[in-house]
Amino acid sequence: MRKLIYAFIVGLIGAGIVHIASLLLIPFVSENDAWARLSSVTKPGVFTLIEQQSKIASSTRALDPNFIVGACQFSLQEGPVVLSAEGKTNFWSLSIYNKRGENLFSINDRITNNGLLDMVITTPLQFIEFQNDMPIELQNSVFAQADVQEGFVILRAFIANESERLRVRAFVENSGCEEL
Amino acid sequence: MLFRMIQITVVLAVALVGGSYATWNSIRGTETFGSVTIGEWITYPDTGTSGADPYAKARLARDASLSLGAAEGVTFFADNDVDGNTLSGACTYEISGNSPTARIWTLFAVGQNQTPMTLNDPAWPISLHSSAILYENTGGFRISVSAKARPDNWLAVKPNDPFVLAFTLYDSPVASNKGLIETSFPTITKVKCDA
Repeated sequence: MRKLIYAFIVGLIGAGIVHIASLLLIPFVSENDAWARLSSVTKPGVFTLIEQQSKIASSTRALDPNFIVGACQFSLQEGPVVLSAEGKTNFWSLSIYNKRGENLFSINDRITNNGLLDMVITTPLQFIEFQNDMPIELQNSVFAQADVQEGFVILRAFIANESERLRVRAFVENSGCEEL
Repeated sequence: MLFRMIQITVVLAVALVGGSYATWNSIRGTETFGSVTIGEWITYPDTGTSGADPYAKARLARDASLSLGAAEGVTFFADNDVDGNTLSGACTYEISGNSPTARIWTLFAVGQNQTPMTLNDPAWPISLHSSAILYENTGGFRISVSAKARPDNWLAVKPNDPFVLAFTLYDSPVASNKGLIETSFPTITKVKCDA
């Protein structure tokens, strides 16, 4: 009997090890994270709308019904990525995430030039090249440095009243997310 | 020999079952490490950042939640009223008070499937925001949360289903401020329940 209790205690210590190991492994083995879910729907170069009742939206607990949400996956391997939009809305905000869904950079329309979306995502190395030779059309852009090869951007635009919905939707759908 | 085998089985069974259960259980609850509670409202300031604890990182990988950045805003969740009872569509609640400083705030109910609650009638208000509600002359507001139509500000929920309220502050100093405790939040009080 004492040996069984002893085995039980050893088992509990083992449980602690299994707990820590599995917890640390989940972010690396998860096949259903935001990146994987977005991969099945996003198209290159544009923002793809995330519909409220879609598979991607389910379990993203904070997907606000008052907002139109667009997602874009990007790669910095070929060069920097330019985010741009036509016009303004009452309020929009944007976040850059790495592949694991961790927030790297966030911005809203008050921080940008005139409330327009005009942004360049670069790696730190690409940014140094820009500093030496800044193209004239990017001089007013906001530069976001992200030390990643791949990542995704979520653009959220606020619908202040129902009559605005189509216009806000067009704002997100027509926003660009292209390689420079 | 047989006893030694039983011993090894016990060790392995306790380790695998216990360890997996502990992991599963720790990433599914609402209130865990790293959460900040203000009255009825709970938020997870570090979730979705590289500074998050391993539990928050595991939950992020499982939920695929797209957490708001500091410049975007911050979401607070409430699954209890002020007396600590779970929120249910069988009851009517009143949310009253002031919102912390924010350019916009929104309020909606999250259903059991973790998505914003949808109702059969699309005309019913499933979400409210700061520029579409009535305010009192003191600057505060009162919002009725009920499965039945209410006068003034009304947030509709499903009858009888439990729900969680999501209160999001956009472009708010609260999101970038770690001293969260100082700000005032609205309180959720139960008005009455259908028997």
